[in-house]
Amino acid sequence: MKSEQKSSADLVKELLGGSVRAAARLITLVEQNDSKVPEIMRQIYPHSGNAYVIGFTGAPGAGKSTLVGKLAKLLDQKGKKVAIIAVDPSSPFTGGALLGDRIRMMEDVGVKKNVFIRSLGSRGEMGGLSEATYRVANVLDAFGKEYIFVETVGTGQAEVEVTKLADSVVVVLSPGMGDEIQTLKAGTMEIGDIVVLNKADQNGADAIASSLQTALHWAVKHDTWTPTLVKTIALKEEGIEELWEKIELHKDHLVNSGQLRIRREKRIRIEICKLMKDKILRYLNKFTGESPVFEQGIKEISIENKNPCQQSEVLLESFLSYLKQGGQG
Amino acid sequence: METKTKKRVLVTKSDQDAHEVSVRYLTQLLRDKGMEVIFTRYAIIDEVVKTAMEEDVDVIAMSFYSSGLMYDTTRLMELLKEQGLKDDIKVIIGGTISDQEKKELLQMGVDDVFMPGMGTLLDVVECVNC
Repeated sequence: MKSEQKSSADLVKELLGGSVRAAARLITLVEQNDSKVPEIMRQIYPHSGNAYVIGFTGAPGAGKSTLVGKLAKLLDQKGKKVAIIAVDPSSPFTGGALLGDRIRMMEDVGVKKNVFIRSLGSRGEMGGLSEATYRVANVLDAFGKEYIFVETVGTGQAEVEVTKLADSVVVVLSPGMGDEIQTLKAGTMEIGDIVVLNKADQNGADAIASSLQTALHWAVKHDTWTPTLVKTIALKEEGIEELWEKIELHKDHLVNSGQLRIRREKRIRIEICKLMKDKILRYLNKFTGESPVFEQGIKEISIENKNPCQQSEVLLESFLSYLKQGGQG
Repeated sequence: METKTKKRVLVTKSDQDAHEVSVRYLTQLLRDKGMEVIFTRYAIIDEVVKTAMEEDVDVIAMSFYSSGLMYDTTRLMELLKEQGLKDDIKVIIGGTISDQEKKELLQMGVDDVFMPGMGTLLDVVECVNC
């Protein structure tokens, strides 16, 4: 039977049994925001909540994918089950995308059974992730992955969406991207629990490392964790062990201080709000598309010259009663 | 929000084969048609099947401008059958391929074969997209 035709219940059963094919199909479904998504999420949710999510963000070409590949290899050697979600930009013009993160990881984890890699297009979302990334992580969590690495689109200065998804955030930088003033800027520079200076063998690495140290030292602490700097040369596999130690330290800190629960609650809050907004928007689109009350309201503005501001209040009232009737009438 | 179904394509070639301009160009053409293209170079053909499965692609497009065509493709088709993916994924092959090889490739279940002088890359795009 073609797996396209399988029911979501069957797919979830196979996912829980360890089927890579089922995991991949389910990811496609949640990514397409298929009508089966609520049903799928209901079935997989009881099996999720065990994975630790690590976000990797930073400028294009800083070495995120290579670093993630090396780290996944290390964890695989330690017998851990790892999944990688690698997001690359979708074209705002055609919707197409070249998903090119995986190519950097092939040498390290190309055939490793316990490492599952999935590339996603950002599909119109700003901020470095795609809308479905959270749900994709849920699927991989239920699939039994212990660590989920989420690699964002190569970011500029302001993309911080990954903080809403990840337990630990790793910001990846490389030399040659500006002077010490860059290390003081708001945005991406603020979000790293761990800051990596990759390509640490390149010219200027030491200078930028010391100004990064200073900036991290000056940073306002949101909890008792002090962000740390790790120097790596991902291509030569140097500094990977040390990076992993720092991530584990951060994880222990979150668990022991109770911050992990707080971070995850924040994540749930955001996801719930998004789901509610989506649903309201769907009803609103239906209302504006089909309700005669709404059409009448528009006519009253254009013909009777009613005030749009006031009219929107009136129409909002009708929309709310339309909602109460479950989108009927 | 509703998202449209997008075609996902794996474009891949052996890392031993240096001829990459045509596949890179193809990759860009597919991207411009609104598809999501995963581009990789493989060391062994088994990686292609793992990638295709995890990425849940609709099409695998492989390029051969040097050796390995018959060995890799035979193994690929075996593995796809083994994993139950054969019916779900279309396989197309392009490169310096002879008439005899084309015949054999089609016999082993490859969906389409593109040889030198057959037309333009746009025909390949069309084949991927249909």
